[in-house]
Amino acid sequence: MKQMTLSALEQIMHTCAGDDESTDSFQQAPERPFADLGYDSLALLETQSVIRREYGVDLSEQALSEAETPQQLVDLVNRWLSAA
Amino acid sequence: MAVGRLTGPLALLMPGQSAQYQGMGTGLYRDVPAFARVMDELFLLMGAAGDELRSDWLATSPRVPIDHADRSQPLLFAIDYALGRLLMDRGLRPTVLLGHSIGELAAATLAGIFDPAGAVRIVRHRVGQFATVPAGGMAAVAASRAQVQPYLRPGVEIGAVNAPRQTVIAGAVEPLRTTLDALRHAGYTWAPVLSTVPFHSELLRPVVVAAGPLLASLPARPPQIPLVSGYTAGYLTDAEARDPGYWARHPVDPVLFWPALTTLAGAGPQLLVECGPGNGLTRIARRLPQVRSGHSEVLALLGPPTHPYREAEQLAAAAARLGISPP
Repeated sequence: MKQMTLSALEQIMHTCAGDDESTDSFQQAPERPFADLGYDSLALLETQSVIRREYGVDLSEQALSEAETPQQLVDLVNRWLSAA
Repeated sequence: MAVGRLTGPLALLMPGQSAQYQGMGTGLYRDVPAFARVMDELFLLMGAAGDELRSDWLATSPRVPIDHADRSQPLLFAIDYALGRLLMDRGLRPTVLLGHSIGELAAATLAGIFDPAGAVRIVRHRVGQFATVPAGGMAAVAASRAQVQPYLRPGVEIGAVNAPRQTVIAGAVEPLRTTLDALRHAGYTWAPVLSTVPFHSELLRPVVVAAGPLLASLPARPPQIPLVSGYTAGYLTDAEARDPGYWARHPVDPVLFWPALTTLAGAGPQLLVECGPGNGLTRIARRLPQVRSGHSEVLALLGPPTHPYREAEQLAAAAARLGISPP
C-alpha cells in the first residue's frame, strides 16, 4: 500500500513554495509547526491539491487546518490511505 | 524554539495590506504608554479624521470594518511606524528597512525621508481618494509571476510578488473573477486577499495623478537609514527618495517584495524583525535560503494575531530577545 513519507511531503511543499534548494528539515524536526517553517495557508492549500492529485486523498479544509506539523499531516494522509 | 538573545545587523520588515486584523495594536495602546504616545501624535496629525479613526480602532464593533482601506491603511501605517519608533527610542539602530506597500511609507518616515506630519498627509490624501476607485479585489495565487501572467484578463494586473510561488493579482471584480476561474481550471490554487481596494492595479491611476501636487510640495530628504525599495528591489537612491513621482506611483506599481527581500538578505547574516501587526512577512522571510540555513534569523514583534490583552506580553518577549528593556 502506498504511504507518504516525511521527505515526500517535504518535496511536495518545497515545490509548492518554489524553493530552489531542498533540505531535510522535516525529518530533523517533524513536529515543527508549518508556521515556523514559513508555510502559509496558501502553500498549505496548494499542498492539499497536490496530495489530492498524487495520492488520491481529498483532505477537508478542517482536517488540513488541524494538521499543524509535517508529522501530523503525514499521519493524516497515511490514515486515509490505510483506510482506503 | 531557542530563547537566547538575538544579535547582528537589524533589518525591519514593515507590513502592509492583508496584515490587518480587528483589534491589532489596541492592547499595546492600552498597556504600553510609549506606544500610545506615538499613536496619539499621529491621530492628532490626522485632525478630526484621526479622532474617528481612533475610536473606531478601539471599538469592539467598529462602524467601518478593519479590512476597509479607510481603516486598514492609516492604521497599518501608524502601528508600523509607532513600533519602529519604540525600538529606536530604546536605542536599537536598524541597519536596513523594507516595507510592504503602505509599510514602505512607514519605513520612509522612520528613515527620515518624510516627517510624520508629511507622511500623514500622504496617507490621508491617498485614503481620501479611494472612494473614487471602482470596486475591485485582490487574490493570492500559488504560482510564480511568469506562470500567472498569461492568465491575466484585461483589467487585472500583478499586484505583488510576495514569494517565488506567491503572486498577488488585483483588478476589477468581473475580470478578476474570470481570471481566477481560468487559473483554477489550469490547476492553480488561490485565496482572496482581504482588501476592498484593488491595490497596485491601474484602477488606482486617478489616485496617483491626484497625489502629484501634494508630493511635489512636501519636503523629502535622503534616507538616514538604508531602505530597500519594494518597487525597484534595489536600495532606494537619494534621487528616488526626493522624486515625488516615485512615491505617487506606489498605488499602481507592483510590490516586488520577494526580490526586495532577496536583495536585503544578500547583505549578509542579520536579524529580520517584523515591525507591525502579525507575522506574515517573517513567515515569507523563513523561506529565504539564508534563514533556512540559520545564517539569518527572524522575529515578529507581535507574532500571530492574538487577543489585545496579550500584545504587551508578546512585545516584552520580543524586546527581551532583542536585548532591550520591555517598553
